[in-house]
Amino acid sequence: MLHADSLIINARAGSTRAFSKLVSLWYKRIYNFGFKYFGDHDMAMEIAQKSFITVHQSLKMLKDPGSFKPWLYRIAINHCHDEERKSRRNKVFSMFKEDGRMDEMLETQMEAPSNAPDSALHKNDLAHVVINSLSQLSEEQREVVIMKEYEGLKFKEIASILTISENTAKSRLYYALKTMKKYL
Amino acid sequence: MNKRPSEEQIIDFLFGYLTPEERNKFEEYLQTDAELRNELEQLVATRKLMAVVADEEVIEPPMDQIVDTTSNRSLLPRSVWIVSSIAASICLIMLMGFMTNMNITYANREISLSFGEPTEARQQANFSSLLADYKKTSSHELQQATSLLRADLTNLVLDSQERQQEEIKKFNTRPRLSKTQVDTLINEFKQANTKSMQEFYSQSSEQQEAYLKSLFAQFYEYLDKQREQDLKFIQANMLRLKNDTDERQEQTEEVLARIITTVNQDNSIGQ
Repeated sequence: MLHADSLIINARAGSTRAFSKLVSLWYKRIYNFGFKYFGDHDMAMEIAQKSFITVHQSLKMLKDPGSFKPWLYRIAINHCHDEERKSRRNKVFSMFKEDGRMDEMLETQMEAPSNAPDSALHKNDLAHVVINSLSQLSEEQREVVIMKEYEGLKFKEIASILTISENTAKSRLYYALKTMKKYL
Repeated sequence: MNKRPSEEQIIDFLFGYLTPEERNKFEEYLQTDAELRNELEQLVATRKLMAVVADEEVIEPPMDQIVDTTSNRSLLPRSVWIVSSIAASICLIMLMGFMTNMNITYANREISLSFGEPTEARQQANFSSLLADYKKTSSHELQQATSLLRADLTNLVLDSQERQQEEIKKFNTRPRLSKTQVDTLINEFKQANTKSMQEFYSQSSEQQEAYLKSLFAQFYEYLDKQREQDLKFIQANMLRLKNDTDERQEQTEEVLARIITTVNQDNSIGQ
């Protein structure tokens, strides 16, 4: 039995220590999922907090410890959807030229060595723009992009979490990337 | 591959999920489709840009915060709880009303709430009897309480008077001194004081004298010892000097004797 599985079993049995370890293992992932989904620290904290509260309440209902990861992401996504309904953001910032090619200046910045004096500042700006472009995507596209690009989930896992086919997940990612290109 | 790849195939190519055979076919087709090449370039660039967003560092909240919130939160929505509470309250009021024969009447711009049979005559009679009982009971109890209070108060006064008289008696029986006696006592006290002070001073001066004598004696002893030691040291040095001088004289004499002997021998050999 994997260590992670035994943690889940113990947490399910009521062990606070095991649950605490589970939180330690997954909190950062869920927070970052929320952060990329909303581009906002407070919202991300809210999502992470609510997700783990739900996990604590419903862990007993999880029959297979092996399916904890998709189950946790499902919970996080549900909370994201709830919060999304409450607030929407609309910030458009274009970094692409009209012909669809990336701005030369941006390309230079990306190719620049990481030890350049103001590299960190540019990276922060770029990160901000990327987060903004993510917020322009539909919920369906955004969650696939984040799960694939940032959480490193397999298409099979994404399909399982969202209860869609793998091809649908791929299709959503394709259109998401194309949409993001417009805002970058 | 003759026709444009599907979106799924493009994604598979982008993430390296194609088999080598599929990849070759895809790349062959890519050579013929400039638009797809451009599109792929943009997709790659977009992904590259996305990689700029790194994970944010975060510290998880203490467990208590999650567990406490969980235990405090109800699985039912808040609105359901509110409606249920109101319904339960109404039911409780109705039940209580049924059990206690509650009557709600409105007369003379007043809403009155009463329990039981609303018979005014019985209520009046009950009230009168209650009032009479109350008067009777209360007057009797009041009399008893007053008499008890009076008795307590009398006892208290008597006790205090007795104690006061005892104190006065004690004070009167105490022996008294006349003015001359007091003066004599003071004089005696003064004399005794002076005497003790004198004794103290005389004792003190004697002690100081003895101490000084012993101190001088010790000092003389020390000086004598020191002088003896110095004399011994000088004598020793003189003796050593004398010995040294004698020794040197003997050595000189020996050397002279040897020289004389040698000179004599040389003279005899020469002759």
